[in-house]
Amino acid sequence: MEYDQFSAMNTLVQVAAQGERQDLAQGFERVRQFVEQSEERFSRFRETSELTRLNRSTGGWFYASPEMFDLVKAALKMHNLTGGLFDPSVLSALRQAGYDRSMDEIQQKGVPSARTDWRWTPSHFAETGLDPETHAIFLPQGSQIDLGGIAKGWIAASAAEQLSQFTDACAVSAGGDMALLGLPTGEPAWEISLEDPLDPEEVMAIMKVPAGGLATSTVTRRQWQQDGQTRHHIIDPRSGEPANTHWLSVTVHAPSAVAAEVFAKALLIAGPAEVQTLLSRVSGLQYSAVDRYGVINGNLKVTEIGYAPTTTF
Amino acid sequence: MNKITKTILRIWITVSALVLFGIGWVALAHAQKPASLADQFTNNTIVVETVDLAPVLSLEELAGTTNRPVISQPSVNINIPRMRTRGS
Repeated sequence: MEYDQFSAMNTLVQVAAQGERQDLAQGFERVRQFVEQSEERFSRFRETSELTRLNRSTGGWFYASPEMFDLVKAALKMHNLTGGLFDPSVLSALRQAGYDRSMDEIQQKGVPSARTDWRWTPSHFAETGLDPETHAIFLPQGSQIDLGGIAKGWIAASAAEQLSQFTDACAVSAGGDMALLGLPTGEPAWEISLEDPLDPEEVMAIMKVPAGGLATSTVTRRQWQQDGQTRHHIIDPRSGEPANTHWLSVTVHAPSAVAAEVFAKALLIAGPAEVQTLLSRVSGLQYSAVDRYGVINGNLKVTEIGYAPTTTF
Repeated sequence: MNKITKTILRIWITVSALVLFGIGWVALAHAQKPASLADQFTNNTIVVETVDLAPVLSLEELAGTTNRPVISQPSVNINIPRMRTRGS
């Protein structure tokens, strides 16, 4: 197995592919270029990105690229499948919580205080219009969107698809949203390390999963302080506030990286009470959740390696 | 205590001791006698369980020239996969 990794989208992109290094070099380079182009297209922190232009057009039709149209269409489908728990139109709530700049900037400069005149209004994302003929998108007035998580899943899946021209088995991870194509020769499954959400340097368990998508959502990785309170980027669309979650992280294996990413987030927000309802929405979903005591729950088989995680949060 | 009383008391103690000694002698004489250690060995078969011991290995065998089975210990090494969940 050959590896490549680089920083993009304020996170780490990891690539693994089976084969000889010289044969894979072109594929690795193509992945890098694709991720860079995709970041330019889907970043909400870049003034010239297509997403920024789409968000400026709310209340009217926007003629999008096939890639943007494909992703917004997938987001709309996932919004319906999760009963609204996945909602990219929480952008105003993210900004209110202080996530109006990149994580690099937040870590360097901090965030502004929360506005006192801001009120959360129910989502209208379900009213988004799509025209498949012209790739036009209609976002309801004021319904600006953030495609951060689902875009990473989509980018990982698309990049893996391109890399598969050079190999029989490959994996692309965009900040933990992973697309797995084929299987390493002689192996019955992909082996993936499950990080401790409280200490990313440590591995809690090893998961063996088939091809498909694997994604993790966590409230511990993108955190900051605002007005003396700890805030994070997983917004509960029912309240417009950072979700008060039972678990610290949820990892989902699904048929696709997009579904894995979306359902990891939805399960993290919903918690144990709504697991069965959510799992019944899409066949082939398996999950593994880590609570604040380091206990691993779920129906995704993992092999714990005896590491005792930190128990404070 | 006068002299007569002392004499009577001495006689009573002596007679009592003799009578109790006689009773004890008779009781022991009629009690069931324990089997002697010699009788145990002559009347019973003592079975001694033995353990079959493996033959002592020669120096050549210890040096590994024979096909003795090797007991393998479970490996404690864990390969941590390079691909990690991270999380967003």
